Amino acid sequence: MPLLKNEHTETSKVRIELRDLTKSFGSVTANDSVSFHVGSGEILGLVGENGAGKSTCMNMLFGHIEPDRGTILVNGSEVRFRSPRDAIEAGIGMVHQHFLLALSLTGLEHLELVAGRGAKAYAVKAMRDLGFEFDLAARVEDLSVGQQQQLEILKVICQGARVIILDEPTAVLTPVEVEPFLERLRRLSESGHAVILISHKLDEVLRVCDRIAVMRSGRVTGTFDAASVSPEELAGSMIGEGITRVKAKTSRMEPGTIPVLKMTDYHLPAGRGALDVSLAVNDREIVGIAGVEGNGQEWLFKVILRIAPRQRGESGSISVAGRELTQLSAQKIRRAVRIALLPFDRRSEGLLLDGDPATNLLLSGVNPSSSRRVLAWGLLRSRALAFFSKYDIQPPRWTGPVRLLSGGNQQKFLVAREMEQEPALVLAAHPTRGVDFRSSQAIHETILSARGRGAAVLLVSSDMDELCKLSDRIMVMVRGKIAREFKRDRDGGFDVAGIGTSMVSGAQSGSAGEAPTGVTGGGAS
Amino acid sequence: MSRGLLLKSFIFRWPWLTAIVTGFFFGLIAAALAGENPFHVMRIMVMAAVGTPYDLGMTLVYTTPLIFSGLSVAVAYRAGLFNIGAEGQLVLGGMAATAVALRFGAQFPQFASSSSFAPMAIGMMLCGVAAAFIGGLTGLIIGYLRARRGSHEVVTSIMVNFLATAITSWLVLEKFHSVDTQNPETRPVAAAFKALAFGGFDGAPVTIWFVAGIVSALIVAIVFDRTLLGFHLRATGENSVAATFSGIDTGRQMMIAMALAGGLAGLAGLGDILGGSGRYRIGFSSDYGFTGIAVALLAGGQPLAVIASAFLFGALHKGALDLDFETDHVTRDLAMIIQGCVILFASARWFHRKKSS
Repeated sequence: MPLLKNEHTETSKVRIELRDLTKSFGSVTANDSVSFHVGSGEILGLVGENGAGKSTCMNMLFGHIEPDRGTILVNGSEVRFRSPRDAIEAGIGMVHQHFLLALSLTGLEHLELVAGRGAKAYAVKAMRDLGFEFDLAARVEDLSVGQQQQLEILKVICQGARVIILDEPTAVLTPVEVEPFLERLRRLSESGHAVILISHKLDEVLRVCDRIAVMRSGRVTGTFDAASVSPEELAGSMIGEGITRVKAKTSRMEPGTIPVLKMTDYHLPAGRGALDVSLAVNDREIVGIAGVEGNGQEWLFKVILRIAPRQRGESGSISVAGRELTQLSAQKIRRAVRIALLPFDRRSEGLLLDGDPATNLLLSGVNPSSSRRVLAWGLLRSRALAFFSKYDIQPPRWTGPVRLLSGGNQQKFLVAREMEQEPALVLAAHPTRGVDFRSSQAIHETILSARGRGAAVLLVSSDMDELCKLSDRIMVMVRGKIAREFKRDRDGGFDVAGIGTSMVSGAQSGSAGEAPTGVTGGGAS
Repeated sequence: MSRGLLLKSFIFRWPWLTAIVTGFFFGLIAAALAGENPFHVMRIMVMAAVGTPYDLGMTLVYTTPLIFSGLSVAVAYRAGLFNIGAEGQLVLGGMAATAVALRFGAQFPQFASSSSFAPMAIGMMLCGVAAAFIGGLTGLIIGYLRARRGSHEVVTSIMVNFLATAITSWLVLEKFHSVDTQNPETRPVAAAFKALAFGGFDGAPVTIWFVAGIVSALIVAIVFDRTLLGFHLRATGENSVAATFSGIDTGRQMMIAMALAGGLAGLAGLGDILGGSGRYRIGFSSDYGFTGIAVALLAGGQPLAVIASAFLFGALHKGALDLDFETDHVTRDLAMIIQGCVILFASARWFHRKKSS
């Protein structure tokens, strides 16, 4: 089913308009008279907090669900999408946040799947026009996340899409990848595509979009011209309150002096992972780990939790609260020390998606029952309910599977579950990734208050603002080693430029530093 | 539109009922194609399954092993494992119980020949423990190989099934063979080891093991819903990565699940062996272990639903027996056709889950 209509669509204009789309689920109105339009050569930003109705709106536009009322117009004529296939036929393409790619297939094979044999020539041309850079013959598993994303976009273009919806595209990108990505978006719109960009990051939206539609609780609360709107105006429209920025706590207690987590000359040989780390996190201290993704951050968590498969050649020591971990099993560690974990992938590593919130509470390892072996469902349910109201998780009083909560609300639930157990050590990875502004603030507050109560926090994040706001110290991780450590300046800030430089330049020195044969080298400088 | 929606919500809410109805529907179409009146066939089957107290009793006799083997598969399934080895576990368990009964009976003939309460209770207990232990050990080996050595449980289970058949055959023919019969069966166990049978079924040997099956289902349900162990098993089955990250030793849970599954399957044969002739006969199990997979599948892995599901398959088995001499064109194999259709529709995914972002 080759859909390459390049010859004539290349130059043809497209304009899509949503008029008064309304959709209810039970008693909840997810979209209430949503209207906006976007045309060729235009980038429309769609912003809003978690649960504002962005996903519902896009699902209607992409034919996943049918609106209760309202119409969708393509080039002025009314259309009705019964399935995504109808939407694709009409020239609409969607790039999901979670990629839908087969790891063992090559990029070209993916394109041929959607567009037939003629895909290659067209794809090569499109790649050149749009500034895409990756090897079409490489398998998806060998592509970086950013390249996989380019492939996803190319896929929908080859399917004949003229309107391209991107759901949180920058959430998965590292800081250095964002700017080139935005540049590609601009080229995409210049080539005559209409782009809808869903995002939480106001600065990116302001930089790249022509117009910005803001959604709040199911309505479009405003459509702004990106050139003339201020971030404060946007945030105000999103949150709906006068406030636009919560001040970061200026006065903070000094970090403690008792090391809670201590890794001494820890070495994990290359193979599945490679680490060479010495670090200490004291009580009442947050140590941030900066670094391009895939430089050993995930392995750091795995070896601390002792869930990495045993490997030969592991050496050095890891201790938590004075207990040596390397000889303990994962289960003994959890019984000995209370560790809160916000994993890298909340869906696959932190939740039982088909379970209800009460069931998922048990995954924290804490059983609130009076007897260790028996479950007290009443207690679990009431505790889950309390978390939902305390952390403002939507929808309130939810007792269905957590799969149906939005990503941001899943994360809030996870934070509540893990941080409410008074942890001695917190391992947090990207705690606010894909989470809206206000919820991010709440999550930051929660982490800071855990620190205030004496917890040691190891924070991995690719969000530089987040790292600078929360951390007492920031370490830059490159190829499994701590390349450099940064402390706060006199005025309380961090040398952001320096961190950025060592994230990238450290990579070069890191590769040079692999040659020495020292087994337990590396460590903090 | 609205009628379609109604049907959709019906299927969604009662997938098992849908499976049964469509399964019977297609099975009876097969009967019709063979030249029989499907309503006539259906009536024969219902009458043969529950028409008289004796028929009902025989249905319960067939139900008993299916409850155990269904539970066995369900327990493994909830922990994310596929126990295709229930057949092997049940013959080994049955053999173990028989061996213990025979050895014990030879040691204490006085005691064993009594059929008063205390000896029978002890007899039942001994047989049960022996069967569950050997069945559980078999399961544990499979679970260990899966959890610690990475061998897939389906492959090892199938191999163990063959081993189990070979071992029991050897034991029956070489160690416990009866001198007074030419059948491939053991000597009969002493009176104390015979399973207590209920009256009221006109001689159909419905035994205490039927009750034991229902009690087992209740216990399994409680373990899964109310205990931390049950949660750990379920978490391992639903998302073993998340379970690992939360500090659960998923390998250990797999071994526990397979040991439990093996133990339950080990008990499956006792109603037949100790309730009827009191002899272990080679081939006594008419694929109870494999039918257990169907039972658990239709029950969706829910222990209490296994009871009903087992009854349905028991009734199907019993009901189809009369087809051989009551009809001209179909045989008892129709039960297999219906069973196959039910399983096909029970495992069908009626709706693909839409991606929710």
